[in-house]
Order: sequence, then C-alpha cells, then structure tokens
Amino acid sequence: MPRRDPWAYIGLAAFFALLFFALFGERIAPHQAIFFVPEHDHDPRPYDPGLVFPLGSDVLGRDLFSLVLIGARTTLTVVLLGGLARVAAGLALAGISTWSRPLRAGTDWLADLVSAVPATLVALIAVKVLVKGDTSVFMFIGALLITGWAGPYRVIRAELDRLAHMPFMEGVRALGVSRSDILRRHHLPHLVPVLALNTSQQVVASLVLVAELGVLGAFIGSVRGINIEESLNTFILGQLNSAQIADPPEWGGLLASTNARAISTLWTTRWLFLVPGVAFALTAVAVAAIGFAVARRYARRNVLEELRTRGAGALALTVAAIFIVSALVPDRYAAARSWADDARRAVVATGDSERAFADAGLAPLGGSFALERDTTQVVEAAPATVTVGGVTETETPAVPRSLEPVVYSRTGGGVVEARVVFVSRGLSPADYPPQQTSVFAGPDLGTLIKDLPDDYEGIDVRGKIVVLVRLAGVAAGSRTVSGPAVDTLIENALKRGAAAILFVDPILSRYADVATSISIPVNPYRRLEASDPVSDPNGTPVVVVTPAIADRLLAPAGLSTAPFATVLDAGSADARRSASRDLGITARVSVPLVRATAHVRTIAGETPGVPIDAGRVVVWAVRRSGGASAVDVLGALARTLTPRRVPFVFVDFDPAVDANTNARAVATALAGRRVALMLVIDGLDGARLSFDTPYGDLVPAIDTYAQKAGARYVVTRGTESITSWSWPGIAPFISTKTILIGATGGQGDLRADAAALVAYVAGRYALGAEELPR
Amino acid sequence: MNTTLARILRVPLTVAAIWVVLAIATPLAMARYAFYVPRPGITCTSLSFTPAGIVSTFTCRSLADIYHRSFEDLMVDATFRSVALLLGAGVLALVLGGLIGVTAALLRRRAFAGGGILGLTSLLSAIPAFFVAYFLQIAVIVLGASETGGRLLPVFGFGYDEHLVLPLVAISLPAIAHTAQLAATRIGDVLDADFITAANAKGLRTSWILAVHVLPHVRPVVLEGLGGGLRISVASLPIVEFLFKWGGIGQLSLEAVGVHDAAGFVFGAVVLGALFAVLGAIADISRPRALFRSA
Repeated sequence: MPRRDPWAYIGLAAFFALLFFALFGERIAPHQAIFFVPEHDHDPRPYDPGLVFPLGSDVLGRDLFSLVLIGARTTLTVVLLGGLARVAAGLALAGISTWSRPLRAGTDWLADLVSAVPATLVALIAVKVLVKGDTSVFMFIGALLITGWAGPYRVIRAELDRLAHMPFMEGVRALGVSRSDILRRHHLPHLVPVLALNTSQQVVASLVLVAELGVLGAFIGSVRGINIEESLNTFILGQLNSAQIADPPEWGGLLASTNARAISTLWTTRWLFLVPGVAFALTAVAVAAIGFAVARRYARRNVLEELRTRGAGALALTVAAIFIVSALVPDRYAAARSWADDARRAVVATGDSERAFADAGLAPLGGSFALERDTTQVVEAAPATVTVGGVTETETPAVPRSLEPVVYSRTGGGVVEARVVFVSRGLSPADYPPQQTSVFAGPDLGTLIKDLPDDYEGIDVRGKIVVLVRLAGVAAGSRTVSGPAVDTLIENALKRGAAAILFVDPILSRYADVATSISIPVNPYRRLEASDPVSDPNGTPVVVVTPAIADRLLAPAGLSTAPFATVLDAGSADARRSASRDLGITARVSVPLVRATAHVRTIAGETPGVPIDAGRVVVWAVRRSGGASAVDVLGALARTLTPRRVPFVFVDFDPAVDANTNARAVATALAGRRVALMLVIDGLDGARLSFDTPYGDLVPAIDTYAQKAGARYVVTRGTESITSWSWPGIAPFISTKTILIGATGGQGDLRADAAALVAYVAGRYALGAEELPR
Repeated sequence: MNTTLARILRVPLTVAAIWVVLAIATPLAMARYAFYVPRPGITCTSLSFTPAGIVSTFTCRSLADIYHRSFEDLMVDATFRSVALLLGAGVLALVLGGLIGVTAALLRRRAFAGGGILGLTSLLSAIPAFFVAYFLQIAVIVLGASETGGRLLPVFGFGYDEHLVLPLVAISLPAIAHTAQLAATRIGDVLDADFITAANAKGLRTSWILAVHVLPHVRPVVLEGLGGGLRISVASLPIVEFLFKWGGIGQLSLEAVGVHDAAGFVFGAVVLGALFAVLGAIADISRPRALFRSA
C-alpha cells in the first residue's frame, strides 16, 4: 500500500477549517456584532480579557472573539479573491507575453515597475482612492490586484520558459497544436504545483496587506461612525466613546478601529491587536499549508486526470454538502422573520386607530384609549423674518440655528418697521452698580465697567429697532468676568423703549435645546420661553441672530458686529468710547404669533397582561395628514403582536399645536411603566426607510433588523448628534433610547416595510435577543 | 551587449520610470481623497474661535509641517535611517544566514537536525515582518519594558543604539532565512560533489575543505540569497518603520499619503524602488548561470 503524504491530510484539515469558519463563523460566535456592552460597572472600555468577554472587547464594548468569527467570511472571501485575481492576472499576462518578444519585454518592464515600489505604499493610495463610503469589496480586491500581479507573472513566465524547452514540446509543435491547446492541455497540468503554491502565497500576501492597511486605518468596504456616549450613565475620563467600525465586520477593520497605530495601546490594550492578529497569523499558516500540500501532491501527477477520480468527486460532494448545510441552517432568531411577514401582510387602511386597538385586544393605557385635551397656546404663525433694504433673513428651524425669535412674557410678537440704532453691547454702568461680595473676591462686573461710557447715553432708542451684541465678558488684566444674562441685556433695551430688538449672539449656532454635555451650552432663549411663557401674541418682537446674519443685514450701514462679539478688554482704547450710533437705515422685524386652540386626541394602547415592571417597547406613530399613514402600521402591528403577548405600547400620537405638551400627557399615562426602547415612526412616503438615533449602539442593530425583515432601507452610516436630535414629542422622553424611523428618496409607500421592521424587532425581543434594551 | 551590463543599466531606467509614473499619478490620486491624520501623536491642529465655537482644523499639508524640518533635511536623514536598517539586516543575513546555511548543509544527512533547521528557516521566511514586529514589541513589553524607555529594550523610537535591535530583527528575519536556505542547498550540492568526496578521502580537514573547496562555489549564491532576502526586507520597510516609529523613508512615505505630500511620497517611493532595483540586480548578477559540475 503506497504511503500517504501527511501534508495531504494537513492541507485538507486546513481547508475544511477555513471553510467552516467562513461559512459558520457568524453562527458559532457567542455574541452578535450588534451586541454592545457600553458600560460594565465602572470598568473602562475596552474591557480586559475575562472581564466581560473571554478575549476582551473592542473600544465600543463588543466581544472581540465574536467579531473575529463573524469577520472571517468577509476577510477570507476578500483575500481568496484577491489572491486568485493576482494569480489569474499573472497567468494571463505570462501567457500573452509568450506571443512575441516586444510583448514580453513590455510586460517584463511593467512587472519590474510594479514590484519595485513596496506594495503597502501603492495599496494604501489605491484603497484611499478606490474605496469610498459605500464601495463594494470588489474595489478593495482591485487594489490588491494592482499591487500583486507581478510576482505570479514572473514565476509563471519562468515556468512557461522552462516548459517551452522541454523535449515533448518539439513533438507538440510538430503536430501543429494551437497555442490555446498547448497552454490548456500541455502546460496547465505542469503548472498546477506552481499555481497552487503561488496562489497560497498570494492569498497570504493579500492577508498581510489587509492587516497592514488595517493598522494604517484603511479597510475593506464601508464604515459606520458609532458614538455610544448617549448610552452611558457614567462618564469615564479618557475613555473613547466613538469609533469608525467596518461594515460588515472584518479583521482589517478590527485593527483599524482599535487605534492600533497608537503605540500606547501596546501597553494598555494589546489584546485589541493580538486577537485579530492571531487570527491573521493562523489563517496565513493554514493557507500556506494548503498550498504546500497541493503543490506536493501534483508535483508528479496530472491534475486533470485526478479530477476524474472518486476521491476528487467525494471532496467536491463534501464541499457542496457543507455549502448546502450552511444555506439551510437557520440564522439566529429566524422565527422573528415570520413575525415580520405576518405584519407585512396585515397592513390595511385603518381609519380609526382607537377601534383598531380595541378590535386587536389591546388594553388602554388609562381609562380609555383616547388621551384628549383642549389646548390654547400662543404659537408662531409663520417663521420670523428681518428685512433691511433688499435683504431678508428668515428663521430656520433646523439646528444649528442662525436666526430665531425670543418669545417670552417680556417680549412678544408683531411686525415693526422703524429706524435702526446700534447700541454696541448695551453696556450702561447705571444698570450694574458695583457690588462688594467678599473681601477675598475679585471685582464684579459693575466695578470693572464703572468708568466705561454708557452705550445708551446720547442715543434715543424709543420706537426704534435696537441692534445689540451680546457681551461675552469683561477682562481686566488677568481677570475676566462673564457678561450679564441674555434676558438682562434684552430687558435693559426694552425698558428704554425699544420697539424691537435685533440681538446678536456669537454662539447662537452652538446651543443645544437640551443639556447634553458640559461643553455644549443650553439655549438660554428656549429656557426663558419654557420658564416664562408668553401669554399675549402682541408685544415687542425680539430676534436673535448670529454675527454672520447681522453683518449681512447691516452691510448697507457699513457695520460689522464681529469686533464686538468678543470679551471686552476694560483697559483698551475701544472700551473707552462707545460705538453706539443711529445707523441711518430702516428695517422690518416680523415675529408673527397667533393664539391657537385645538382639540388634541392621542390614542394609546398596550399589550394586556404585561407585568408592570417589564421593560416596554413604545411604537410612537406621529399622525400626519395625507400620504402613507403610520396609523395603518400601528393597526397591523396591534393585530399581529397582541396575541403574541410582547410588552409593546402603541401610540397614535397627535402632534397638533404643541407636540411636547401633548407628549407629556402620554408620559403621564405611562406612569409606572418602564420604557426600554421607543420606535418613532414619522413619515412613510418614500423609496426607502431611513433611521436616525443618537444612541450609536442601536445603529448597526436597526440596519440588521431592516435587512432581516426584508424592508427597503438606506444604510445608517453615522450616529445622530444629540444637539440636533429632535422628533415630535421628544421632551418627556429625551433620556429614553429611541430610534426615529422615517422615509427618504423618491415616491413610494413604506407602510408594509415599517410594519415588518417593527414586528421583526418584536420577534427578536420575544425570543430574547441580547442586544435589545429591556 | 554584455548581459551583466544590460542588467546594471536596467536599474537607472527602472528608477527613472518609477519617478515619471509616480510624479504624474500621485498628485492625481491624492486629489481624489481627503486629508487624514496619518498617525496618532501628530499635533498639526489649529484652533480657531468662530461664532460656532472652537473649531479644530488639521493644518499639516506636508511632511515638513509635521516634523518642522526642511524637506531636504528630512528626506536625507530618513534615507540614512532606512539604509542603516538595511545595512544592518544585510550584515545579519550574511553572518547568521551563512552560518545557519553551513550548519544545515553539514547536518544534511541527519534528517531531524537538518530538516529542523530548514523547517525553521521556512517558517521564519513565511511569517510576515509586520507580525514579527508587533509580536516582538508585545513580547518585550510583557517581559518588562515601560512606556518611557524600558528595562529590557526600547520598543519604539529612533536611535543608533539599542533602539536598533527590534526593528533590525523584524526586518532581517526574512533575509536571514532566505540566505540560509539558498546557502544550505548550494553547500549541500557542493558537499555531495565527487571532488569533495576525494578531498575527504585524502584526509583533509573539514574546515580546510569548506574554506578552500566549498566557499568559492557558494559565494555568488549567498550574494543572490542576500539580494533576494533584502528585497523582502525593503518591501516590509514602510510598515516596520511605521510600527517602530523609526522615522525612515518608509514611514515618511506612509505619512505623506495622509497629508497629501506628493513630493515626499514620490521621493520615498523612488528611494525604496531604487533600493529594490539595486538588490534585484545584485541577486540576478550573482545567480550562477551554470552548475559547477558542468563548468
């Protein structure tokens, strides 16, 4: 009995191991790539091995071992295709180069040129140029091909040269065999060992290049910008809360997202490199073993004959069987797909959500499904505008804001057309008498400005539009005192008889509507409006603008407010004289307010029989007139989910007049119930669903849900900034994890997609998916 | 024309061609992607106070901006640093590769020892320098280095002292392995030749046989192995220098990609290309055209 080559077994074992991890890596991973652990007691991220996960976590708190298993498929596919592409290109060019001498000289010279520059340099530039946000992996394979075809070309060309001088070639040529037949029938069988070894070398080279590029911050496919700061309860100084992650996960991306370029990580978080690094190294060894085994086996055998043997058939059948099994084995939470399909089919026009909830067997949140109230409020009838000459600036609701009205009890609405006077920073020593608070304290604002000129002196502001720049602070030597509160400055102008105020605030565009971070100031005008609301639509209109807007408006008067938008140096020459003056122009300030009365009727129901302490998912459908109605989605969800007893709350939300006040009524009705997650559906007219959330750990999850539910959607590439995060009724739920589901792009009805998506989430929730908040 | 002369003349032609191609292609390529910070620790940031708050802008637009040195000074210094690494790798490859090759050849009849040495060199040549560099750094840290220097060896930074050790090991391993394998094969062939059998039969000492009868046949092969091995070292120079913060021409070339310094990138790539071409020429010229038996 002939002795079996042990390398054949080693090669086969390596081949099946790689095939197994590529096809089943995601299924055998302990956790999914969408599972984040943003916090674990007070341990800093990335978590040390053994703390949360056996081999540690990445910077965002995901299991590194699972990510390596999940990333195996993409990585192995790319390096395999990259290696094969290099060898195929080398083989093709080597074959072509045999046709003529000049062709050979040309390809030789090109190969010299390509191989002379280190592949890492060329590949880095190629990847930066070719691989953009949404490019496919094929662009990355292209970059691998550009840098690596010359090696296989040289080896194959040398082998073809050797074969061309073999004695059997004389016979072949004498028989008049064609070039293609020579290559296919006489050269290819001899080339198998070289090709096998070369393919394995090129796959390993591609693997190394993927790793090197990962360390340099370039990786396969697309990226997502994930920021998990909003999901944290405790802020740990120096901890990284945001990162660019690869989509889909792959090993080069793991190296890139671990900030492996920072040398300090070798001391602090070296497992971030070691875990994917060991995967790279083991794969390189396995691929090399396969290549070596194939090369040995076919060094003295004809591969074409071997393909007809029983062994080759058995191997092919085994591989095919593995592929079939991988296709048949259901993925995790596969049952949730049937939930999605049921909800998709259940979408029909639902005129009355209250009746739909009752018919579905939902329980009302309070005494009845309807949460009703009559509300009267002073609201803006139209956006505020300021017009000077031919220039009109209009209020924009989007953040960052550049113009907004200030509407509270001391101001109001209306239209004023009058002359414009500039009162600089509106500084009047009389308004700020010096105060000695302590013998140890430094001088206060009144003390610092007591000798400065009065900006209101010698200028009559009565019945005029006052332009006033917010005083950031006053500096005297090394001491700086903050300027007065904005309402103080505004009211000082009002008490002097201003008909309207154009208030220039240098940091207007930086304000957040809600407190999020100590580095981002909260909008003081919104705070005034909330704490001291206006009751009369008529009053003195006040509009706050950025310096850029003010300068555009006041250009005809030759005034630039930028020099005033800084801290005032009390000792400077500028501070010694007031810049107040009549600008000699007229302007029109319009803040249209009306008193609005409406009957608000929000319908809310929940799955009956859910324990009070169970975490609930609230589906918040914003009622809009016309178009695809989110109420139809609620109806479908209520009918399909209620019998399944998932802890869901359904809200057909009426955003009329004042959405936040209306939402507070729902929050009151929810009292005692713990809301784990909110899914806000607002607008379903479009070609694809779009998602928005400031909770970065939910970003990959919602895309995965949409894909598994078969919904049309656009991939979410980033995390929404909390400062620009808004949806109708946000105020009472600002600290609740929420995903805003909307529509984008073109025409279409996305009700069925939205219903399928939410039902899929419900299915996963019921099946115990670990990534969903509970 | 003489083949050797033709091979030598191909070197400047190749270098000139690289320069022309890169000088045209690099600025075009760099215009198609955005600037990025090439590595952590680069402080090229300007803070501007705008109405929207403090805005941080990455301002480095060249390697000279990053290092605050003139382009010429930077490039000359970086080239010396890289060449120093390669020279060190060459010496190590000649000495260690040669010794390992001789040992493996002398032990060729002992399957376990001879096979073990060749297996080890095969493994060393298969492990990419990138992994060797990282694993060496981690090993040294685990064995007791500190971030400020280290009780054992410094794990990053430039210096013609102990700083050389780790990058040199990482960069020279493939060259050592390649040289050793070629030397072992060639010496084995020579040791099996009839005239060596005759020399042994005459009772000559092994050291004499090696020095007088074997090494003259082996010298070109060792040079060929050295040239081939150092080509692998040049290919891994950028990433190894980058990982060790060596500040050589390879590291600067990688950083030039981030700051769109086309001149810096082209210079670095041309220097590396020139080294590559010269080493390739050495390997080709040293390659024996015929076996000694038929010579």
